[in-house]
Amino acid sequence: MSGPFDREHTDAWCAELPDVEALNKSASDAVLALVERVRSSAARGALAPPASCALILGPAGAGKTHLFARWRKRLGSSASFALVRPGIGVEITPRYALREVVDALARAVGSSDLRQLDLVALRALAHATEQRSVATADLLHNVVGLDDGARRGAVERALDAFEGIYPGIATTWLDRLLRVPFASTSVERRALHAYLSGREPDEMQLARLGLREGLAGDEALNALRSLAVVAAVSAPLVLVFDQLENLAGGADHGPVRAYASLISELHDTVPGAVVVQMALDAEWDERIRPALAAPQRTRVEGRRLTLALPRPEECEALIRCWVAGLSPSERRGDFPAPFTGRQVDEWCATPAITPRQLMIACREALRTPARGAREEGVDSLANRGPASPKAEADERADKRNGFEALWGDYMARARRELDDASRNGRGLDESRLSAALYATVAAADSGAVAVADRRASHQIEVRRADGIGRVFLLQDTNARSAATKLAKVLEVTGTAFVLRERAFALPPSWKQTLSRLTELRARRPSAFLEVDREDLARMLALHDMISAARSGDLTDPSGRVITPGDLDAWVSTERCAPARWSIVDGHEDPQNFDPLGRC
Amino acid sequence: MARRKNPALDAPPVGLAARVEADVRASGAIALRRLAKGAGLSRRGEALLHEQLAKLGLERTGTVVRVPLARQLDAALAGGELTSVTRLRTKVKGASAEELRRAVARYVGAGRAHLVVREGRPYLAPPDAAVLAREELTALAAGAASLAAALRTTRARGAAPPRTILRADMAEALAHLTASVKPQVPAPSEARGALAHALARLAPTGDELVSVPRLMRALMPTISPEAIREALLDAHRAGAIELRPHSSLDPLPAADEALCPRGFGGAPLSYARRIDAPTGAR
Repeated sequence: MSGPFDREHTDAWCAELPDVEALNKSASDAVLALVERVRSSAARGALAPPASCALILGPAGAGKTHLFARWRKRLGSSASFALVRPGIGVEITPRYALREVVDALARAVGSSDLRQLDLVALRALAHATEQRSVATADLLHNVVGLDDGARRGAVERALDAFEGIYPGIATTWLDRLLRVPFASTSVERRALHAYLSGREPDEMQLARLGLREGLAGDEALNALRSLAVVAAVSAPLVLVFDQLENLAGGADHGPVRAYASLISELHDTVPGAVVVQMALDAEWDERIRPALAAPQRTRVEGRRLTLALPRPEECEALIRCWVAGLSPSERRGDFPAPFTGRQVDEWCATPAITPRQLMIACREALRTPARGAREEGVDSLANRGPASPKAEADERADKRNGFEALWGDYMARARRELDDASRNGRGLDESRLSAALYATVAAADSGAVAVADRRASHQIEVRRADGIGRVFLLQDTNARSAATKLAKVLEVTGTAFVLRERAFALPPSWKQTLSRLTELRARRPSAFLEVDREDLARMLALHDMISAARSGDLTDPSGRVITPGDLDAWVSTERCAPARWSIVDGHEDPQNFDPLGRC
Repeated sequence: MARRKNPALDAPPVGLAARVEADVRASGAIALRRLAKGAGLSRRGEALLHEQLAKLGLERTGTVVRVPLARQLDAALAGGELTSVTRLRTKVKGASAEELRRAVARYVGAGRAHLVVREGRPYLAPPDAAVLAREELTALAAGAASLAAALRTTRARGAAPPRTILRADMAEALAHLTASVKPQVPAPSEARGALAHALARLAPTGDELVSVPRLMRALMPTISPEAIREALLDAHRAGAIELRPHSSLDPLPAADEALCPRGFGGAPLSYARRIDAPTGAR
C-alpha cells in the first residue's frame, strides 16, 4: 500500500505535502520571517542583511524535515533551498557545503523545467539590467534570445553591479554562475556544475569553461558568499543543515568544531543567507553544544527553537489531514472512519507521541484490523506483557525480514546514486567515499578506528593496536591533480592504500599518475585498490543506514524504530558482512589482501 | 517659669493595646523599650499594658514582646517546604539563638517537624514529609560502614599490586544499601510540588532538557518512583511540562529505562522540558 500513511519519513523535496500548519508554527514562522527580512531589504534596494542563524531541535519524528518541505511549499520560487546532511566522521568544510548547496540548487523548482540555479542566475541578470519586474518566463525568453555579444554584455553588467556593491566577491565563480541559463548542452551544463560545486572539472571541461584549474579550496567560502548576495536580490538562500547529530562522536570533536567554524564564518561573512540547523535535541545538548567555544555558541545558537510535540487536538488534526488523502473507498465513511473514535482518542491521549509515531499507529491499525487492534487501541501496544517463546521467535523473524527489506532499499538507493554520478561523468565524491569508509571501518568490529586527516579530506588513517594504515582516495577527474596527489603520497611514510572506483578507472593517457603509482609500489608497502560498484554500493548503503539510525530515522516496514545498537548487531552477523572493511587485517601484506572481505 | 512635667499615666489609654498588638503582629516582635514610647505610662501603666497584650495572645520576654515562638515556627513551616534552620533566625523574630535552638528541639520532639540534614546543613521539614525511619538510618549506616571498610582494603600499599572490587560485588552491596530504604507514598500534591522544585533546579532557564532518570533519582529518596511518574504524567497532561521520547544516540541503560514513564509503543519518555520557557516553540 502506498498512501498518506506511508510517509513517516518526509521527502524533503516532495511535490505534495499534507500539512497541519498549526503544528510547529512558531519555529516555521521564525524562519519564514528571516527570509522575509532579506526579501524586504532587497525590495527597498538596501544591502543584504547579515546572515541569520536558527537552530531547531526536536526528537526523531517531530517533523524537522517536514518543516523544510513546508518552507519550500510556502515560499516556492521566492527562496533558494539547499539541504546539507553531514556524513559520518567527515568535517563539513566550506567546499563540502558549496558542493551540497550547488547540487541542491540543481533541482527543479516545482513542476517547471527551470532549476533553482537557473532562477538565481536569471534574476541576478534581470536585477543588474533593470528588468526586475519582468516575469520569469519572459526573462528566460529574453535571455535565451540574446546573441553571444549581448549575453556577454549582460553578464559583465551584472558582475560590475554586484562587485560594486559587494567588493571582493568571487567574480570568476560568479561569472560562471551567470552563464548557467545560457548553457544549451548537457556537456556545458555538467562542466559548469562541476566548477560551481567546487568539484574538479576534467581537462575538457576546464577548456570549455576557459579555465586552467578548478575552484581552489580557499575560494569556496567566497563562492558561497557570492551566491548568497546574488540570491538575496530575488530568492534568498535558505541553507539548511539537517541530521547534525552525525557530527557527534570522536575524542577531539573535530567534525563539531569544523562545523561550528563554518557556521561562524557564514554568520560573519555571508550576508543575505538564512542558515537553519536541525538536530536531535538530546544529542545537541549532550554532545554538540559542550564542544562549542563560547563565541561559536553565540553564533550557532543565535536563535534556538525547540519543537513541541503535538497536543491532543493537533494529533486529531493530523489524522484528519492524512485521512483526507485516502480515497472514498478507503475512508469508508465520515471521520473518524476508517478508525474508531476510541482509537483516535487513545492515540491523541498517548503522552509525547510524535507525528511519525502517530502515522505508524494509524497505518498499523489500517493494515491489521483483523488482529483486533481497532478495538484495543494504543494502550495494548504500550502495555504488552512478557512475550511467549513463539512470539519472540516471530518477532526475531520479523526483525530480520525488516532488516533485509531495508538493506534492499538502501542498496537500490546507493546504486542509483552511483549511476547518477556515472551519468554525470564523475566518480563518487571523495567526502562521500570518506564517510562510507568511516562507517564501514566502524562496522567491521575489528578494533580499528578511522581518523580524518585535517589537512586533506582525501586522506584517512585507519588505526589499530598493531599499526596504522593510510588510505588515500584518488577519485580525481584530472590527470594533473591525481599526479600531484600521488606525489604527496610518496612523501608519507608507512603503509599506503590508494583507492579509486573501478568504474572510474585511470586512463592510460595519465602517464605521470601511473608512473607514480608504480614508484609507490616499488618504494614501500602499498596497494592500489580498485573498488567494484557493488562493494561501493554496500559501503554507501551501510553508511546511510547507520546515519539514519543515529538520527532515529531508521524504521523497518512495520514502523519499528531500529536503533544503532540493533543495526550494529545485524551488521555483525548478517548479509551485509561483505561490506565490512578489513583493510587493517591485511595491511602487513598489502599486495595480497582483499580489502572488502568479499564473500 | 519652668513648665510642669505631665504626670505619668497609671493606665494605658483606650486603644493603645490594640495598636501595639497590630505593630507586634506586623513585625513579629518589638523591643520593650520601644513598645509604648511616647505614651507616658508609669511602671504600673506599663505592667497593665503587658497584661493586656498577654491577653491578646502575645508573648513577653525580658527584652521584647513577640508573636508566640511556636506560632512563628508554625508560620515559617506552613508552606510545607523545607526551611533552613540557619535562615529560621531571620524568619522568627525576638528569639535568641539559644532560645530558638531549644524551641526547634521541642518542636521536633513533639513531632511537629522533622529535623533533616541536606548537604551538611540542618533543615526543618513538615511532619508529613517522607523521611527515613530510625531503623532505616541504622541499616544505612551499617551498610555504609561496611562499604567504606571494603573500599579501605583497596588502598595502595607500598609496592603491593593494586587491588579493586568486582563490579558484581559492588552492585550487590549497593543494592543491599538501597534496599534498606523503603519508598514511601507521598500525597499527590507533595509529589507535584517536589517535581516542580526539582525541575526548576535542574533546568534553571527552562530551555534545557532534563533527563527523567536524573530527575527521578533526585526525588526518589523521598518519593516513590510510581508517584513521581504519576506526577510527571499529570504535569504533562496539564501542560506544565512536556515529556519527550529518548533521542540520544546512546541507548538508555536498562536501570534508567525502568524509571521512565512510557509513551507510544512502550517507548521510554526519558526527557522532560518545562514549556513555560520563553523560547519554547509551538
